[in-house]
Amino acid sequence: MTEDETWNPQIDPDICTGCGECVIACPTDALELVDDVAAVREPDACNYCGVCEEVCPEGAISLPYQLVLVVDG
Amino acid sequence: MAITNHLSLLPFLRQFPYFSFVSEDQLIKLAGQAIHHNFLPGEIIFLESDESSGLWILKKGRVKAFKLSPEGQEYILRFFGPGDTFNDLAALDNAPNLANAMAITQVEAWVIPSDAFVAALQEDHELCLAVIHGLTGRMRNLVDRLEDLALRPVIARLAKFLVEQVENPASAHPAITRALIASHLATTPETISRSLRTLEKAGAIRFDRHRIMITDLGLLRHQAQLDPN
Repeated sequence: MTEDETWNPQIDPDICTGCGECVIACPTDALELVDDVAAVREPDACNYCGVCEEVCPEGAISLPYQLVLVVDG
Repeated sequence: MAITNHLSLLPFLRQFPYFSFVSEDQLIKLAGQAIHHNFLPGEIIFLESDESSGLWILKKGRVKAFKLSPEGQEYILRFFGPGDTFNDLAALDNAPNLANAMAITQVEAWVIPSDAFVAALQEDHELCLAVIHGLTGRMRNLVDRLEDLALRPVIARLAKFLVEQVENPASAHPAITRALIASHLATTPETISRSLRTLEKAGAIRFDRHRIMITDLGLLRHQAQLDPN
């Protein structure tokens, strides 16, 4: 996985049942079903709202975050 | 798995608190029995209840120690990073491993077999003192975790987790998810989502796509019920 791919929604194909809830819910059409498994089709469109993670009934989607400490000045 | 040129291991082992003051002879013996391992991300290092493989010494990468409920729910006990040892207790009493250990990233580690470690303890006073000191730290950490679970609300546990992650980058997880935080704090991803939003509204953190920006560390420490500094 490249550095860029790390910071997209991660979909576990072994858990995903292909129900399509995330594809319907995604407000930016970043997801689609490929071979009956959800996939991030348009990574640049993804705004990381987290709706896909919330609606997935199987818990197959997770959004990885990087922690950054903002230093004043 | 490979047995490396053990003399090249000596400067590396000296960096660990356990081995800082061990005699040179004892360190050479220990290094001679250390076994080198590499693991890929997601690979199991050892399983709970398996026979103890010994004292693990982490050179590169990150490891999580975790327990599983009968239903498969994960509870993360602790993350380890370069410079940490793990499986210390099972190495000492030679009883089965207390928890599961998994590589989060690519991992390079050595393991010193239990019998070699215990034999060294019997011969080296400085090693005994260092191990007692190390175990005291582990005990304090466990009592802290118990206190967190019993006495701190989720929002305070989450704030403390975030503070610890940014203040100890060596053992921090490189990419955190709501599910991972939930399994570390013994709660649900939904509760973590709500608590993150509460911290955001309070002004302690801000979301920037895949980044959680800690904008007010003092406020986060306050939320964590920690001292201001």
